[in-house]
Amino acid sequence: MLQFVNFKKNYGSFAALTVDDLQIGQGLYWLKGVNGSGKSTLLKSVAGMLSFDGDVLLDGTISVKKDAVNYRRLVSFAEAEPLFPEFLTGREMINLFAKARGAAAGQEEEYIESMQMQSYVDRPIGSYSSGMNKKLSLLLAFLGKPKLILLDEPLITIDTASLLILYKWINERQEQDGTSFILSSHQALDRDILPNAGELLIENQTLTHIA
Amino acid sequence: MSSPLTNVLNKVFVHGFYRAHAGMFLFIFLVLFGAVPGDMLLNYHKALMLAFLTSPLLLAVVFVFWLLYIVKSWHYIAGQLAAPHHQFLFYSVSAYSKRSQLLSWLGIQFNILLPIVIYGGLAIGVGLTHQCYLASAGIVIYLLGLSIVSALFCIRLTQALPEGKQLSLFLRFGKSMPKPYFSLFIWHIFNQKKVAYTIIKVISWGVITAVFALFDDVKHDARVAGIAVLAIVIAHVVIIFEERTFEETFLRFGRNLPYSRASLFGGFVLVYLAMLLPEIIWLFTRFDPVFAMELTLFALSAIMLFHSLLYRIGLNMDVYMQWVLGLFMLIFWVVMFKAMLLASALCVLAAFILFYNNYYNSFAVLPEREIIE
Repeated sequence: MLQFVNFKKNYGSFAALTVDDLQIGQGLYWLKGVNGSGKSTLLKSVAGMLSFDGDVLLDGTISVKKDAVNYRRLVSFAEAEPLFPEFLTGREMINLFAKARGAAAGQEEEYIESMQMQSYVDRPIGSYSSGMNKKLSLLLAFLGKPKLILLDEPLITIDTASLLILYKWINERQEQDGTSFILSSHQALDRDILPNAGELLIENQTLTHIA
Repeated sequence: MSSPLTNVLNKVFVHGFYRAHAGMFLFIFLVLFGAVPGDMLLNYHKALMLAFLTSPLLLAVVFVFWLLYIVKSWHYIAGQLAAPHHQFLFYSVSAYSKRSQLLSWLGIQFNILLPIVIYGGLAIGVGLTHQCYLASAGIVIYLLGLSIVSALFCIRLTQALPEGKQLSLFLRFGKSMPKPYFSLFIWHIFNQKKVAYTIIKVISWGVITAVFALFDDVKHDARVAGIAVLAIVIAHVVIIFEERTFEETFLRFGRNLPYSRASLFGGFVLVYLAMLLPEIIWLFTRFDPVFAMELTLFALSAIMLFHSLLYRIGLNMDVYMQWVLGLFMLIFWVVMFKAMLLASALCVLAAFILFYNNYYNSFAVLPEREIIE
């Protein structure tokens, strides 16, 4: 599903992350690593938001660099600490993403409802708490029909009830559309909730597939 | 030794103020010192100073300019105080004694007013050697008064708790209007950058008026109109920088959306077209349509070059200003050789190449603590 080809990310002269050649099959992955190990760097690079040397391919052929638009239609990302223009309402952000990713009309409604966002989705984002903002960014990542959804630290800022709903969304999309996921966290994986998750580890400035 | 309070306030407000207004200072510098040949510079400024030292009316005009400057600084300080990462000031500054707060803020005012203090000091020197004692004393009193009033105003700002965020009137009116991705910066201006935008339009108006007052043959000489348009573009470089900062802060998600680089580039052209609308209307009322169209294309090409450049060099105002100055001189000379269309073509070509190659590689230098996480 995802292939790293001579991936190298430097910050100045510091080689932050190097992945020579790694293939990850379809499925759900739990990306582990201590603070500062480079989890966000990896996810942002795979999302096409951060430049790097080498290439990342989706399904063997779609390159984040050479096929920029198509790749971005198929890979979506939710930031750890999202920041959106404060004057837009949640609904306006949803419309923007839905249009860009070619989402089916009304796709967002069940997500808004299940996450209980009806009361504030039409208010400006400037009035949101960090948890509300986080829920919005998670919802945005599910719009359209991405083949890979990257969630950076989805467990932080949202409450336990919302977290269970998020797991439900993930399971549904995996079963119905075969969507792949990479979730980053410094917490341990809960096998009871995500029994089939694979595990990726960032350590010593490189990425390995551990389970 | 300065107190820790002065130190923090200096770092937050004074450094930031000069960085944020580098474009304005560059513009004023060009106007004050670039417009006069080097050998006449001293006499010209001496004559200018004597003119306002001996005429109460002109002195009042100068005082109004200084007042505008300090009002601009209030606006900046109030804006910074409202930023989330400066909220700590509300519960730290107010814990100091009134006296040390006043002294610290006076120091900050002095640093912010420094360009005016130096200029005013020179004017006083000229005044004293030419027996203009009253006007010289007036300048001293006025500047002292400004500093004290301004310091008191800043203390009040840190004591009044920030109100909840309220959308500007434009945004409440535009509630049901569609807001496509490219238009977001224009909404941002309407929401938060109205003052900056108005000031730029006033500068533009000043440039236009001055060009028409100084050059009689402006209608027949394409070069004069071209230089005026270039000056208008230079007046916009700060808001271009602002656009990139906004994009790098609030529109980071855009780089993950499936927009082609050509359509993103086109979107930015539309943004600047909307932003330059007042000037474009002026061009079409003053010149024949073909020439007005050429000038509009020239303005847009040059502005896109200054925009795209930032993807390459990052959000570093100091470096940016050096490039702006260099490119200004280069484009200036191409226009002087009556090659405005060539200048437009080169600008837009360079802009597109810079944009295409750097859009996904661009980086923000702003957060100096860019950490890996």
